[in-house]
Amino acid sequence: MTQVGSLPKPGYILEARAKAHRGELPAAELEELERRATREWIEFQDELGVDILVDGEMYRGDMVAYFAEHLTGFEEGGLVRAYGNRYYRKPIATGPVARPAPITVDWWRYAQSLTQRPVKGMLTGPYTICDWSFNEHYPSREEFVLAVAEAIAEEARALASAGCRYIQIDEPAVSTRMDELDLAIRGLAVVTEGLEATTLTHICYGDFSRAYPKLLELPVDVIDLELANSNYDLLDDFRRHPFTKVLGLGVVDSHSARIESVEEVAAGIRRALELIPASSIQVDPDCGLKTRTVEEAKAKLRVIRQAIDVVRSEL
Amino acid sequence: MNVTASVVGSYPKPPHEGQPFRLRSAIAARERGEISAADLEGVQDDLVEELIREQVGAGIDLVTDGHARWPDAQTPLAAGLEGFTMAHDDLIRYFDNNTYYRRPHVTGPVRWRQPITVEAWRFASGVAARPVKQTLTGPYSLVKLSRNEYYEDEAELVLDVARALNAEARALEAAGATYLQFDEPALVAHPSAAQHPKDFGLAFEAAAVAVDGLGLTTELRTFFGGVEEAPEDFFALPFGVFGLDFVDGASNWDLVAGLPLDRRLSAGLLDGRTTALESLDSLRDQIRRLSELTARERLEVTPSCGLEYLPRDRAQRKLCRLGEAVRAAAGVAV
Repeated sequence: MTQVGSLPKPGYILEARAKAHRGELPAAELEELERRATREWIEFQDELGVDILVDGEMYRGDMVAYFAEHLTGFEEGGLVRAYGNRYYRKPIATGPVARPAPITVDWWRYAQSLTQRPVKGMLTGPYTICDWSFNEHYPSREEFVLAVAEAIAEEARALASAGCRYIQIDEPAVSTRMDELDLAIRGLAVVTEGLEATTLTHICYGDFSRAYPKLLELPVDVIDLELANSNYDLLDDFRRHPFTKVLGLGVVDSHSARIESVEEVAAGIRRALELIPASSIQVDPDCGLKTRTVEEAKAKLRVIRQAIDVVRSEL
Repeated sequence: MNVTASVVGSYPKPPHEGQPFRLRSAIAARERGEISAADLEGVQDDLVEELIREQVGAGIDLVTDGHARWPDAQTPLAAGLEGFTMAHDDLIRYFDNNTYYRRPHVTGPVRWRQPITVEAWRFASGVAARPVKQTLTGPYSLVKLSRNEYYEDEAELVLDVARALNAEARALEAAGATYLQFDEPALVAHPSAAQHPKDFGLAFEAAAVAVDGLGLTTELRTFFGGVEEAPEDFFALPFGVFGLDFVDGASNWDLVAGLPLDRRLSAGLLDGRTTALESLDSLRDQIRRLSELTARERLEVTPSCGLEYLPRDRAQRKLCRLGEAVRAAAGVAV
């Protein structure tokens, strides 16, 4: 069992972030609260028996904007709609992109110091950072993606040097445009080539069927997919062409407040097991859980744990 | 030269930097049951007025309500028709944008029961004091952006949706609307999770059903791509105006000469999905080139697509540039 990445921020973090944004809370005090929330999520995952943990990203806002804020060359953009009543700040690249200092390494070290089990390093992939930003600087998408890839590669190597054994480079945008799949794969290769860690990527909300089996060329060990949100339709694609990586199997819908039943999640895992051996499956939610409440996220994670135990007892 | 400035449909709903985001707060408060439906409507009314004022201020002649009351362009129509069930999950990407929506599910025969957009159009029209264009997602795209769980034959579904949208169009016309635009992006771009190749024959048949018997000006709008795959009789479809995307559909530059003289062109020239600002000179030159290519004195010029993909300040800046370019092309001193 593992996690996709983000977990909900408790109320005190949301309040503290708003205060800090208004300049009413010193950065050090916000960070102290973020450390407390990270510790609470690590403890919860440890107790639940999650095998590969995440730090929950208490200190991050949007998965693209967070990296854009820490790289030079990006400006903060205005709000644009993501879905329904949810909006995000879309960064604007206005100069050459570079990584002046480590971004996630200290947070990873802190989270890893709290548990004996491995904690994943969590990065956003170059193609997704570029696709979810505006580009006013680079003459082509290709140059933009490859420049960001160099910066993310430096961060990945720094995590590996710090001892991180699992590095996830999320590319939810990778299956958006068939004519740019090769570019996305090249960008990710810049990050993972020679990296001494198990590499993972998470993909969601794209046109998976059209991009498959080409997506198997992504240079990572594990591909994590949302199965529950699409009623496990993706498994039909695996029947047509075998899935040859380790599968991160998303079994609960991250964008719905409904708590799945243990039986429906167990049924989903069994369906995947018809096609992929248990040793090549990592079970997790469909996507990061940050849009859920803390209680909803915990309930969903407990259901996953119980469903895994049910299915394991049958193996 | 007679050049009209218009928009495709959506406009950013967030406020300008530093202003409170009243709509977002009101929707959240409504979901928690803290304010009434009428309270939320009041906030939406204010936003419609604000967005229309902003368009008029930028020099836009033919405005929309900016889709200020809609979360997206599909679900409010689907929710208003009989036969659709609104999903609480099934969040999927809207074409190739980093924008998502909950895919409506077709769970019964699709029928029109009562007006869906008429009241909102009437309000916008009242505050604009100029024509307000109403947009409807066309039958083919509405089906391709939904999940069909009821009809065995998708063609039947598309034609039922076309008949239902025709009833909505007639209600708009009866209320006094003079300009109605049907959006058919699925003709030129591929919706996420749509399994089938494009069926132009079906799309064309449905488009004709949707505008059957209407007397108001009708526009067929495509965006996110060019119409190069469409059969040659595309421009023979019974619409008065063809809206084309010249940014993501570069092929339209070569095809537009085929537009018959009795059809108007609404040309999407400003990139609605990038913040970089077009130069006045390049826009003015493009407008003149289109006028020559299509051998006509009269043109509409718009962004390439709805503007909701941009931050509010950038959208306004683009729209002002559009207004300037239109005046420059028409020979008015800027």
